[in-house]
Amino acid sequence: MNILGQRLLLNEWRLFYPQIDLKAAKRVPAMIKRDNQWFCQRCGSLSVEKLPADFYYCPYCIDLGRISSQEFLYYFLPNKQNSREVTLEWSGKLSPAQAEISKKLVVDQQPAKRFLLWAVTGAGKTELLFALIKNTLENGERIAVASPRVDVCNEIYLRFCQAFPKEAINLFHGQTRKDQGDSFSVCTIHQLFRYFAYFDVIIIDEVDAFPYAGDPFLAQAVKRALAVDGRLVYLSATPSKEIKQVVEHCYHLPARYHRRPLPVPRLLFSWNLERQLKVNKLPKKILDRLFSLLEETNLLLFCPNIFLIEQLGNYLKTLMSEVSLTTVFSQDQERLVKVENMRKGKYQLLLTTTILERGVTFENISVVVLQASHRIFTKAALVQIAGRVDRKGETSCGEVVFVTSEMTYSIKQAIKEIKQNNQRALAEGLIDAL
Amino acid sequence: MRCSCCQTILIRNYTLREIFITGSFRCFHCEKYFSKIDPASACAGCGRPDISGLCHDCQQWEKEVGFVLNNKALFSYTEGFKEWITAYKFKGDYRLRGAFATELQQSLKAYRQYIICPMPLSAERFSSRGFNQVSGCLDMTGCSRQLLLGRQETPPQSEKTRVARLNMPQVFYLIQPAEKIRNQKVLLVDDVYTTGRTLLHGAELLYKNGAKVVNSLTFAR
Repeated sequence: MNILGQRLLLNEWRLFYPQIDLKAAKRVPAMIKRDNQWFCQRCGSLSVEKLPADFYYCPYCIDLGRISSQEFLYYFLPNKQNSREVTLEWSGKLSPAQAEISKKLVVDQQPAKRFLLWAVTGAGKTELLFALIKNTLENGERIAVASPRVDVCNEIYLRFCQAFPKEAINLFHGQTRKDQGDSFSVCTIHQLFRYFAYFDVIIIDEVDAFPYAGDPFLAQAVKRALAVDGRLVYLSATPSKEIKQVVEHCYHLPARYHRRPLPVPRLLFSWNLERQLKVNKLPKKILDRLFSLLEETNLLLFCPNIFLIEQLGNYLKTLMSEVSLTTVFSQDQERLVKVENMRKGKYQLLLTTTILERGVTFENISVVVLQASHRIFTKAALVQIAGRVDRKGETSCGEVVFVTSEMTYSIKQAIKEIKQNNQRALAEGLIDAL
Repeated sequence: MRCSCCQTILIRNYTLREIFITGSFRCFHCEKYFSKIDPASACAGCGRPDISGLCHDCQQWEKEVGFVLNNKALFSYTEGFKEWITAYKFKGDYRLRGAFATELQQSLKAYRQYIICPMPLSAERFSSRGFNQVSGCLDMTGCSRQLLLGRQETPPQSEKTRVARLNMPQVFYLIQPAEKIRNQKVLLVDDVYTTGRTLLHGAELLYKNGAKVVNSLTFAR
């Protein structure tokens, strides 16, 4: 049985598991009336959206399929699982700092409930989790690894499959449902709404990423899917103050496993940047910098919005006919293909929005952030973007450049945080030199 | 204020006119979904864009049923419109009903003396979807509408092939006394004009019961 724990509507059961007989299933009304509002039993929101046919629906979780006050949610009661053997096949080696945190994470599981693993970009967070996952599964407990990003889900799913070849791992997100077992799931946070009080451990990757950060709606998904005595592990490279406050244990890993410091962003001021962008051009100073960077490495150019990407893409194509370049953004149909091609080094220049700010690794790359003062580039986003550089392989001369016409608090804080991490890593002897 | 189509919050400065007079905005992304059809260069029968006079299909209809509808279509049936109608009609997000209230209100001005009649859903479909997708949009314009027709339950239109749709038998029946329609002008409103079969069935029934003129308006063609 791989259907335990899920609480689905009748049409979802018919679609996903047509062979399941729902006679033995328990059911709850999909929405409950509370005063003048209707409480959605799937996402926990209150709805006032009434339809002419005289019933209500919940607009908040409509992306999972509309839920209405006429319907019921069906589920099977989870049974108690026994402890068992779990094989971990992973030949890599953790650095001493990684190993220590990995061990602590397992030991501390008993008394505490909320954890934060604060590790810089490219520190090897996924590998740190193997011990915890193995331990949890061996105790007969259920675990979910959730991330707000589909790309991140896909990537960590592959790595878990390699590390735990004998485990049946689920992968759920908007585009896929890979259904294999019922004790280990990798999914987007939205998919957690389909579970209720089920997982003993939920690991949330990239807690500071859009759309999870600042969206209480998604925090609700995690809360509802967590079992009564469940534990939460947050992973982040740039945790917010609020998260640091709610956790009982915070493990900080300020350096990458390859013992090189994080690249510190350089600022490039351009006073007439906005004026030039308005006519879809770039100031000469910036163009020169782009050319000199392109001679050394490939380049990611982050832009604040899609419109600008399209305009600049055309503009740069005419200027740099010999450079292979392309654009990518969230609604792009070929997004995954383009990212894969970039990984293989097929493009020298990739114009992108913040969708590529995390979860992706390119070798031999430099990063330029255009209009770093734009409010879409928060401190977390800037730190993440800077973290794309020099992640793996041999030492590269990749650079991080923030192009801006004004200094903002986010830029200042981002640079400060990167420098602090480097200092701390040096003090702890985790990197060789600055 | 939120985008009337995708419901995200709009971040820009509004003009006074926008705040006080018109109530429907679309964001930059949704604006691209809807491409307007210029009625001057559209087919006089079905509203297909960039045709002078009657298009081939409408000439066929004229031979077969003896009249054309003078259908007016607001937007082209593009990928964007498909996305909107999927979210609104098939996923059932009733909040999207005001996506083009302003444009709809504008075009309805030309039909002041008409009885405005949305195309009906069968009772089963209405209770499962929870709303009539045409009435929903019409309500946002504040016009008065009157349901004249009822509809028998049939498999969904959108799953049929073109030939199957064309050979469909009459599915409508009158739910109001015939006196109400006699010598009246009627405007049928539907969401998408595909083959014209559905709308023509409705129009045939109304003409049979003595309507003077039957025209139609669809959101997309």
